[in-house]
Amino acid sequence: MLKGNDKISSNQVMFILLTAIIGVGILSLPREAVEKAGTDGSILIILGGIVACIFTVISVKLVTLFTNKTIVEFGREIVTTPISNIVSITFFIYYIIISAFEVRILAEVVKMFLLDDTPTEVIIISILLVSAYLVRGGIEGLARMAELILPIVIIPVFLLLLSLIPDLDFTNLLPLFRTNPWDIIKSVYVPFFSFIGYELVLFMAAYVKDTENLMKFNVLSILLVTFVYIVFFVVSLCRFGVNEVKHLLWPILSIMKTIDLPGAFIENIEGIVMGLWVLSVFASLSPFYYSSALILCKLFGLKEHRYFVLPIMPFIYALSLAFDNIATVYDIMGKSINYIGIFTVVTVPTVYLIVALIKKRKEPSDNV
Amino acid sequence: MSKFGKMIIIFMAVAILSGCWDKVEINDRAFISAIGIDIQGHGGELEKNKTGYKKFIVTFVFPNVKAIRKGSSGEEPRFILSSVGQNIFHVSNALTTRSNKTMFFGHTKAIIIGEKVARDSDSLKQIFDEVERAHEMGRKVGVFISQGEARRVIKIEPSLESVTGTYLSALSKAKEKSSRFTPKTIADILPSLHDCRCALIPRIIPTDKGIKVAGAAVIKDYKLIGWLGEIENRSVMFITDKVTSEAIIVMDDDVLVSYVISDTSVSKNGRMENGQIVMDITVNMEGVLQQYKLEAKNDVLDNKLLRRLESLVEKKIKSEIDGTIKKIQKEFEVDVIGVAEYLYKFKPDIWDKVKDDWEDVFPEVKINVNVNTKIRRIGMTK
Amino acid sequence: MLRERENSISISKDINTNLKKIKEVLKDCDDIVYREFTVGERRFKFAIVYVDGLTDKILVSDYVLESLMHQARGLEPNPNSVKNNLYELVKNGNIAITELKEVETLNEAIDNVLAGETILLVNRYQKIIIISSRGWPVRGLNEPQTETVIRGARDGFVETLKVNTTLVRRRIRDSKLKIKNMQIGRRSKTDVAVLYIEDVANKELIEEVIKRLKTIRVDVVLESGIIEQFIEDNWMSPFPQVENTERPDAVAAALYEGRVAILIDNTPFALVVPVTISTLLQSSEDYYERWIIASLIRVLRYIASLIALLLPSIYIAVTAYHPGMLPTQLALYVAATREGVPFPAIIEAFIMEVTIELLREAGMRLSGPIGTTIGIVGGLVIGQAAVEAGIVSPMMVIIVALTTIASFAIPSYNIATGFRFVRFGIMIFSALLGLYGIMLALLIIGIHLVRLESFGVPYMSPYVSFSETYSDLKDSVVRMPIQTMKKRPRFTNVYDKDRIFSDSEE
Repeated sequence: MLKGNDKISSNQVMFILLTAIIGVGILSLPREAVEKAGTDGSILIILGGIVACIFTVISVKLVTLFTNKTIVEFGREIVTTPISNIVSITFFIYYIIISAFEVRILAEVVKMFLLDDTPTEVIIISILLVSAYLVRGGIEGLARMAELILPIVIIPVFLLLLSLIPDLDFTNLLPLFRTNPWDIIKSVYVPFFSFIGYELVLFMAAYVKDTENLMKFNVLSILLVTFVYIVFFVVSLCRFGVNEVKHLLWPILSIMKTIDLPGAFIENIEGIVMGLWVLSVFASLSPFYYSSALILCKLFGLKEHRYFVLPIMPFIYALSLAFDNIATVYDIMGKSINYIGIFTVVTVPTVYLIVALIKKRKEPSDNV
Repeated sequence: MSKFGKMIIIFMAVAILSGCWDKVEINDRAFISAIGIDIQGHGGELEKNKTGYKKFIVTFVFPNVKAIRKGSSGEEPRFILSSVGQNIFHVSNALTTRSNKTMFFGHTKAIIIGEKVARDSDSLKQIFDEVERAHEMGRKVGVFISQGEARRVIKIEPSLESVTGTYLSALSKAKEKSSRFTPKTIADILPSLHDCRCALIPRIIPTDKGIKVAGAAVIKDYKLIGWLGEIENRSVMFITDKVTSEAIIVMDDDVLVSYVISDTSVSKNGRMENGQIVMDITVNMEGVLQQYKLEAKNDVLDNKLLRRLESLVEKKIKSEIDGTIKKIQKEFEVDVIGVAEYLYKFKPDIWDKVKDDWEDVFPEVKINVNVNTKIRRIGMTK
Repeated sequence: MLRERENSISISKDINTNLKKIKEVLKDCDDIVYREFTVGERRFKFAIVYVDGLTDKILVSDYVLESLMHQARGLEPNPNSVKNNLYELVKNGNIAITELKEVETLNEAIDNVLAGETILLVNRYQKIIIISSRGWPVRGLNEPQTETVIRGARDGFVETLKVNTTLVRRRIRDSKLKIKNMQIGRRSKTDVAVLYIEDVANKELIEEVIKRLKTIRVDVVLESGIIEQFIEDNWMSPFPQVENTERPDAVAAALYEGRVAILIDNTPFALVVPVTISTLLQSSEDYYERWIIASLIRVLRYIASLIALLLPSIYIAVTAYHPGMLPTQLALYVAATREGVPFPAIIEAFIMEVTIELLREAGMRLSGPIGTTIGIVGGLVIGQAAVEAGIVSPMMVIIVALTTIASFAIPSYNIATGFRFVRFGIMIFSALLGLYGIMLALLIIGIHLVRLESFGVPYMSPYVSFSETYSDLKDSVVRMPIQTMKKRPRFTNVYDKDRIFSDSEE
């Protein structure tokens, strides 16, 4: 029977990753890519995708060595309990920061486009409460929600983009290959950080029924994300041209403001876009929120993560309001996510995998 | 009921008791349809107030919704409010003391900038930044520059549609019929300004009978430096491949010939020759013979005659375009025809050499124009 | 008291004692008929007991009394064999009735009497013969009132379980169709039949259904709704987790899909489990119409659900928070219609919604011409007057009317009521936070729905967990051609998966 047993399939992991990765990063990605590589930004994004793919493969390899365990538990086997606990706490802080960052950007955007005078606090608290409701339900609900939200968001957005095609000037993509290759390689980190979220598999894998398919679906999700990013990049570049994209805070949202649906019932579709945007940020926020609760639960060796969901909320709330304006939010939070990210999503999986492989190899030789 | 449910109920209760921060009922809003911006001052030098800021006179026009309701006659169809302030939103705030409605810019259709404002680069920069930053306004707002004061334009009530903004937006949407002006929205103008700090903005002329949109204002360095006439505007549209339909009239001996363009395409080619940039611009057009003359001595169903007419049209358009390019290159020295954009995209090697002193190079670029005309159809008669 | 009833009263050899005991138990039950008679020259004592009105009297008199009292005389009198085997003789030879049972306690006998059977007591024997003679006035097979279709069978279930099982059996001539009877209700002892196709339906599902039915501890079951409320997974949810239908063809179709049906005596409503949001938005007609039309109607139904859920909230959000979303002309028109309306949009919406709900209830309670009058007076007169008086805007009347019509276009009345309830919640959210509030409300509903399960099947199937059930998407928002639906739906985890065979498989 398809009884609720808090197990998910690899396919569902893909959906969670897709919704988690495509979060607030996509808003500013076209601008950042253009700033670093001009019209060659799509190459930059592809490179970022390739790097993300490599680390995804490493992470999946790592988790498939251990079944039914999250990184909090198998970390203890690889690198002694104290070190592993420190790593887990880093992950916890990291996810709290990401969650806070996401809700803050959400609140800023919602405030700007929908609710001018509503206090930021109300917007943040309300979305956090709804997210907590989902997170308490466990990973199965999370996965099903991701499956539900992704098509609801993606299909209308692509239809909207289709309606933009007459306004696109594809010559804006030219000239190609004019940027110094070394410059591009140096700035690969920019799009790479838009792929943060793939490491969630380190936590999710413990609940996956068919781990043998995990690799396939994880890599596929990174490829799909790369595709989505490139589409958005190309569209914003074609619509605005290099200089204007550099100038816009959130090129994607500005694009949505220019869409003129032919014979439409709706004049300004930004309301619709905002609705979809709330859905997608929600779906992006929840896995991080869930993982942070899960880390605490596993650290204390408990079975139920739901006791931690509400206690964590004040931290996310406080952190999200800790910075005065959007400039510092992007500056401090964005940067700290990137710096901790280098440790958590790059170093930890790689080192763990190497150590685990060495240990595995030693074991048989010890026996002989 | 779980603890969690209680929390949600408490939150909802708090929200209901204190909430609805943004609620403004739709009938309590004034849907600003057009905004006119003028500058306070007399004659040449712009006046600054004590704080050193220039003062604008901003005029808002919005429809009277009561007049829209069925069976309500005698209501004034629109209201005009005007006041002095440092920028658009400053004035709109100041005007709340004179209006019982909240001003709403989500349906603004047009911004009309007075000539004097446009001649001052600081003011123009300020206005465009304000408009771009404002989320409420949308990027589909049309921009116009008025000859004379913007206030005058707004005060004129167009006979076909009483609300200025709606009238202008409808005018822009019917663009297929004419190439006398090119409708431009904020989304079109701002990238152009960011690219070359220059732009063409449609010109709006207040007349006794109504308002007329024709020609364009040439903006260079965020400053109005001159006007393009209707024919010149058409020429620019030919070069930038924006023409969709246009009637050309030429004289064949004593016969008035009308030719309607149904399709155009433009190909550009640029190269370096002896240290000078040479641009070849070829305009290809297809069209229909719309009018010749009854009982004329020539048979229209004759290839030779058609060839002759084609070459007449070609000559006429070529001379128009040549004249316009000369004006743009020598008089205004502003690249609104997209030469720089072409070089940047398709000839990056040439562009790298000249990009630093493009403003000096542009007037020296040699532009050859070719026009090819095809008469595809001649209508129902021979 | 109850304990006393549970004690089995044994049958004594003396028919008079037995009758006395029965009369004692059924004291003051004046609808019970006792008929004592003697047979043959030896004057064997017999008695029959039945409930007046529940029993087919003609059957009893013609084939029981007649044959015992008259035809028995024609038999060759063989005193010895008659004397020793009277009971066997009577049981096997003299009663021309198709269905006979025998019981050994008086309690069982009494239960059977109350269920409409006739019991035959024979003197000097410690067994009682139960003669199947149920026969009471049955409503004819009418077209179901709540689920009318353009195309499809016109017969609907009635209040008699036997008739209902017959209607299903007629559509499934398969030895694997199992009908399990049980009784629920300590006092009402209502007959309940669980129907399933053995090698199609999942075994765990069948066991789960029977388990849940057996755990019901209630004294009265008057209607299937009571059982429905006892066996649903989450009774806090506004959404129904059990489907009810009056249509035998719908039940048969569900059985073929591997679902389980529960038929209950005294009600024409059968229950079907498990359900998903997509099965609730299906109608049996979808499968009888050609697929293009059926798909269009499905799409329409999903749109209707969205309208029923969201339209008033969107109106509130757009007019009070985001007028920029409307086309300019429409925005001005809406503003013009609202000019002079004294209430905020949310109050206006609530006034109209409550009015409509009142009309709906009133119209439903009154049948026929009065109901229509209510509709006209309410809908036309009050609506018109309210608009003219300027209490509500004409736009609001259109919105509310459209919402109500949309909610009637949803085939399952159950889920339509669920939507109705949820709609008010969304309206409050939208009045607080505009479009953002609507999105939050939708998220809350979405989270609730993805967590909801009906007998272990995700309620949102096939839209979630579709790595296992993606083929069900062929029969969701659209209905693909029947040729492409080669397999049974997967969400019930059926055993026999094939629906369309190739020749070689035959």
